Amino acid sequence: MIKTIKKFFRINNILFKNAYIRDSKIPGFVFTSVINQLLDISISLIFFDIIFANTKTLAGWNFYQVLFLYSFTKFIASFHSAWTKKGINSVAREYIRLGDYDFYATKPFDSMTLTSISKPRLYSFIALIFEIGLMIYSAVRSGINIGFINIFWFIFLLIFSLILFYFLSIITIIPAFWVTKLTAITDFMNRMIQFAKYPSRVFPIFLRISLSTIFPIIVVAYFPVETLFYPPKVGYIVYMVLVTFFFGWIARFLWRLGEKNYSSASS
Amino acid sequence: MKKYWTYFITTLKLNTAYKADFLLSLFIDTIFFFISFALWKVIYKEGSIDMISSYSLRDTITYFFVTSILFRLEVSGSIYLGWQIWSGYFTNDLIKPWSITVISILDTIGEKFFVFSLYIPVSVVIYISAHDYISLPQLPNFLMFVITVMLAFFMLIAFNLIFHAMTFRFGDQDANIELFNYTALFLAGSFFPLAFLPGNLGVIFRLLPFKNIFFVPIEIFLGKMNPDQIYRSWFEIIVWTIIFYCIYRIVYKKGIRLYTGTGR
Repeated sequence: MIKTIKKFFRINNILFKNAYIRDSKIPGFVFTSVINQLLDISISLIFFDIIFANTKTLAGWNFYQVLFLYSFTKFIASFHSAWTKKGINSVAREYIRLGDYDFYATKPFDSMTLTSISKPRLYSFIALIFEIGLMIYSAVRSGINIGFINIFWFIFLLIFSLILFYFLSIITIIPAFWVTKLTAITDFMNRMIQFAKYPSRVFPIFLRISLSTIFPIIVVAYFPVETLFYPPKVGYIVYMVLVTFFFGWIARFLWRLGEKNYSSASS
Repeated sequence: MKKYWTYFITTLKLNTAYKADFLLSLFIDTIFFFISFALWKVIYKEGSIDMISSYSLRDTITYFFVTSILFRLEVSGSIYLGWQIWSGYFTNDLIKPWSITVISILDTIGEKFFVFSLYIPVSVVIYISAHDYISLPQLPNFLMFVITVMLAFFMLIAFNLIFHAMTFRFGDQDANIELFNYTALFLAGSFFPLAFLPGNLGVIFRLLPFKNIFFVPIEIFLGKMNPDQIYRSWFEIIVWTIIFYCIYRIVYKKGIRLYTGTGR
């Protein structure tokens, strides 16, 4: 196990170095991407301003709590975007269709992990600085007394959120093993994460249940953020851990099933 | 003319090649509407509001319903001129007896026509699921809405072509195209009605041409504009389209002199 983890970090280190060399050759692109992130945050701030000009709370949450939830969701998405998103999307867009998956399937390392980390975008990590800043600002301004125990469980759940989001992203692209071209699926998580940007009680009950169980995207952001602002619930923590392991198992099982259907460039 | 017709039909056929991919994208596209639907219902209810800047809840939900349809006509992902220049595939079209601009526009129209047509049943499903909150327009308003959307569609193509032609001089423009389109769509009122913007911010947004892509057509759909205002908008869109197109031609003509056909 330790040997595998060491191997993972060695490979990841090489891929990060390659990504750094690649990114440093396109400073204009990196700059524009960072501006894009800042623009997105600015637009969302205007949007929330409009919302809260008309209501004091949104599903019981004040402006700064909703802002925290939004920046936390962005943080999860940016982290994923920086490390694994492009690799995962490449599986759906090109690796399988063009037969490039051979390269990863034949390496003495887990192919699901290897393809996921194959194309890191280090410049996306820059966005995390703005998002963490916004999270700290909104947590301080929320007017809610946040204790040490809240912060501890929040960080604990944050780690599981990142892992769960990764597994959900993997599950969404697995159909690409059966369908010739499935680029639209790479947009699926971008859309689904929109559900996580608002307090879950905004949505009708059937949607809330579906998005907490069948495809638990709400769990990814809402559970950790509620744990930060309100007394931690044991049920939330246990559920988060169980659901992460369950979807991890599902992702791995479906990946192996998909791999059996892979027949190189002809697939 | 016949060659362009053949080209257009081929583009349409090309779009039908990957059906699963396409059907999935239709489903994904409905998510934005249902989130906005749930969100604004709660805002009106919790704030005990009847109107936000002349928009009732019904108007607001209708706004997002029409927005979800107009997003099908958003062209940024359907123009490939920049990619062709950057990759060198541009040479294939350059040596053929046709206008690069015309086939770029035909590519876009073909793809968008197909996407838009197949979205009609999806929008019917959305309408049925939220019909209590969606208003349908009177026939004259609907016709003027269609004309406005078509004019705005060409304005958006002309705007995008400028950035694609910049690839000749500045290389890959993907990130810039994404950035400018994202900004343009925000300024257009695709995220919320521009009428919701407070004070000077609202005035600035309304001075820009981008409002004609989402906000103005939907105001027409909702019957919030009189014929005089509508005709003025049409004139404004046509003028902006000509301006954008002229800028594109200048950038293109200067840029093509730098093209070496080698790609990246």
